[in-house]
Amino acid sequence: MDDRSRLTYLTRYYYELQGIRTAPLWLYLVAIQPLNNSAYFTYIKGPARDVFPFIAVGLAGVFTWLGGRYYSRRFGWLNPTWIGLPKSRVYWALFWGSLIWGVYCIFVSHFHGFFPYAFTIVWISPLFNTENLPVRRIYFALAGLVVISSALFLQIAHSDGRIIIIIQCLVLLALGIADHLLLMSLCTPPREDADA
Amino acid sequence: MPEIQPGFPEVDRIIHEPARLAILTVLSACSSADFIFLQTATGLSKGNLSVQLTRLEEAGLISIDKVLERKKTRTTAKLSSTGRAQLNEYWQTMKRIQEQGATQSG
Repeated sequence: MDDRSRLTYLTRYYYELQGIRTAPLWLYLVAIQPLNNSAYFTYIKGPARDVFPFIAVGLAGVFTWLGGRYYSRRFGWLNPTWIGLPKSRVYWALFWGSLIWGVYCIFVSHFHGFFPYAFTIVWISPLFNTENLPVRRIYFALAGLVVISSALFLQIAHSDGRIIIIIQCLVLLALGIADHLLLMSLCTPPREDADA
Repeated sequence: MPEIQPGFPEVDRIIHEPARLAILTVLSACSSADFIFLQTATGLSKGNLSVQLTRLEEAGLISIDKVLERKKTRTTAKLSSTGRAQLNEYWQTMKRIQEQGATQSG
């Protein structure tokens, strides 16, 4: 990859590659699953039990904001140009297909197992963006494959639905780390070779 | 840098320098960027980046804005319309040189 392409890609996708930003949210969703409907929750009683999820989400929001500040201080800030929506027809066919299927599942068949597939279609969009680096498209493809195949397997095995949420969040966490490492690899190491 | 043979189109020396070209490439891919991002992306030292930004501003290729935020000055740079046009012209010139070089060697 030449320097021009590397710098252009880094600048255009700077905010998309800030993978650590959303890590607290995925960690929160992973942590909350074993507590959900379990005996642990009985220790929290009264109004505190209703407020608890909002406080937790609020904290995840605060950590996400702090993640943004970390990137701003460590890597800098820029005013991006609008990248635009994915141009791939395959992606939009999958997106609208899953949306229609989701509406059908909610209102007609009452099948809640559609969610992992529909949500995967939403976050897998970098796979269909030809501007993306091949390595990024590959790890998004692998991540999508892991989530969809495990969702299928768990539904066939009639397993606990919370497991797929944990898998999905862990995969999104891994994608965030991979994006962060990619961002770091695209930055130029300090140099002094320019004539002043 | 290899010497340009007679007959090749002239390149803009202000843009052709690697550090300045890196800065302009970053600024051409966004609306504006701050000093820290330019430093991260180009790998230049603070002093060197500062000198190169001043040169580019003097040449009218970029505009620099300094804003006071929480007792700290945030320096942002933006590619001017002249800068964008000259950078595009530069890449076209480089493409022509590459094509001429390929024709002469092949």
